[in-house]
Amino acid sequence: MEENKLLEVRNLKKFFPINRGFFNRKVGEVKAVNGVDFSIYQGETLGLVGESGCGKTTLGRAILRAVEPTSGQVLFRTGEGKVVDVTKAEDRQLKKIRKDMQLIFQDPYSSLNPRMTVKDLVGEPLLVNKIARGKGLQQKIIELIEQVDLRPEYMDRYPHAFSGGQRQRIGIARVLSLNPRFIVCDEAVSALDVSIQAQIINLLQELQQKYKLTYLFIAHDLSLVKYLCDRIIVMYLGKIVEIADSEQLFTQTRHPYTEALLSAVPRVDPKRKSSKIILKGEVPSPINPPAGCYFHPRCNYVQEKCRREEPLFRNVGQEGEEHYVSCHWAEQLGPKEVM
Amino acid sequence: MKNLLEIKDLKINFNTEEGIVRAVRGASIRIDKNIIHGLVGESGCGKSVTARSVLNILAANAEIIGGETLYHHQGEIVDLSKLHPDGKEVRKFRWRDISMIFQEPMTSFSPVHTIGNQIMEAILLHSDLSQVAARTHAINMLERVGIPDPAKRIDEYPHQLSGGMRQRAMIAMALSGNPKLLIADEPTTALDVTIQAQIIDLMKQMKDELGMSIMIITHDMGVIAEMADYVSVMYLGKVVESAPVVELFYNPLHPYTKALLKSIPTINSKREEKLTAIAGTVPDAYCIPDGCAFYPRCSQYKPGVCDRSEPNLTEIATDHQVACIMYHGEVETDGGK
Repeated sequence: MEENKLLEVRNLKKFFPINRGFFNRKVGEVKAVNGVDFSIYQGETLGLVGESGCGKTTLGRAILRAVEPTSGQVLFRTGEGKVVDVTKAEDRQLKKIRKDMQLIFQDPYSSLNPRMTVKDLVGEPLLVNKIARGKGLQQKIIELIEQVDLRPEYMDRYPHAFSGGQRQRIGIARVLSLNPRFIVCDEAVSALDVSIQAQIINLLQELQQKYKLTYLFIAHDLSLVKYLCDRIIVMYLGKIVEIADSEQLFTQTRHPYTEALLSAVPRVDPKRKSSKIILKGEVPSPINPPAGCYFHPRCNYVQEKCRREEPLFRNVGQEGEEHYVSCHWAEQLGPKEVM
Repeated sequence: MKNLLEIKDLKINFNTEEGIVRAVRGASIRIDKNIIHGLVGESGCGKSVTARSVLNILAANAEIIGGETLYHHQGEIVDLSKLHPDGKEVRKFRWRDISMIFQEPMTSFSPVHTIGNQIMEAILLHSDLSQVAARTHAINMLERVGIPDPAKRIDEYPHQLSGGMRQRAMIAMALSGNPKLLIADEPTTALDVTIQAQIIDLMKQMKDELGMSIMIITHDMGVIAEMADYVSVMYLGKVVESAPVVELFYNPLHPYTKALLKSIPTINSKREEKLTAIAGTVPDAYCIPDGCAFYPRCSQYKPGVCDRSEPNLTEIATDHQVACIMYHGEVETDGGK
């Protein structure tokens, strides 16, 4: 693994079994993540977008091994510079790695225990990981709470006394307590109102600069992802269809799905003439994905080859740039600008 | 007359165990014929309650305590807010004149009846069509909203339809009475962007085909920009600004509207530019501040002015109304912090 990479995912798969009947026999599999490859560079913000059911949340969790991956590798560079395969790490090692990798959840209402005060919530990871105790613990908790712009006076209160945005700050304080280097933000601001969303995004950016954090930012809001991220991964039905620099993804779109997805985002400009590409039908089931290219039943450029052969996931970027796409016709169709 | 519906100084309270929640505190909205009127605001601003009050389908503990909802109906003006919610009078208007679609396509259909039966129920209840004619009409409507193979899908249960299809079926049901006004409460919020694009397109197309007006309620400024002709912005139970869509996006006047527009990252935002967050949070509906409800978060707050009296929605330019003291003639408008 190259020196500038923090994490490398190789052919990662996560299938969920479907069990039915008296003997609870396995009758099928939901192919939530179906063989993905990508890298995350040190200090970057990598966006992960796709429609519901495309496997983006499962992928985020499989990387942290919050769900056990079915197969594949997740190589992670630890603080000491060692490269570890997270999927094969033993309990002890995993516990150590997990201090470095953290997860911020979407729902600030269900992800905090309502019976714990803010002090307990923020202090818990510190105690469990034996980072601080006694007087030092109190001091550390206050530091963390101030870090996320909450008032330490409120630390004896319970989560219900806080608004959605404040709860998300508590969640962030918890995550920060372990000094992580890599954070997966799973729809971290989706549940919040726009005015509050901006506060949390600004906070995440400040923290990133201060602590040199690397983010995997999972979201369905494409405007937000474009604003926040250095590079973007687009997923469809458990597979990656395109990875590119976030500016490039919009100005040199290579995959027909990305093109349609980006064009469908409502723009905050009533003067813009709509040039939406309306896709036919809906996302097929991940239990029984279509043959060939998974996107072919809805694709506007579909040809015979798409129905039979799965496209190769390859780099089509020019002059050392990385721009991965999985479409048979990426070269022929050429880059498109979706604006 | 081009007016279709005028909501004037509407006030709605919720009586809860913890006290009275003033959910709507004097909202005024005018909806013209054959336009899409967007109602936008953050959660808890009273936009859904305002919309539901038009059809008198509020929760049991809600009470309309003031104001009027004037519906222009065949040369007559009816005040819908004064009609009894369970009475015959208001039923005449529901579905036939004004109908509504909701956010959750999953829960707004009954799971134990086929969609056909549910659409036909509405048709049979409100018109004198026969069973057979109602079924034909229902199939016809399903076809118009783009459901493939409607003659077969009509006998399916809601769970057999995807989210997008269910929302289409909902629209078919709402439009089968050929209403003058469709109230759409967050109709695309639960849908993915590509499906959202389909539904937005469908609603615009149906509006033109049927010559109706749509009142769309959403928190998504993008959806508003894409769909609406005219926009009202709500904050804490009041309309703070009302303008044609281009005017509102290019020349917002109220500090809240301005801040709201600046806080959204757009496709064209640059990463170097920080988002302008609005300080603080929306105050609790139990204890709304005196004066202008937005002053504790306002960057142009003037002590002694903004916290004294609540500004009224005033027309500043043609069709552009705003409720902010800065734009009222008697006060200097130099702004500043």
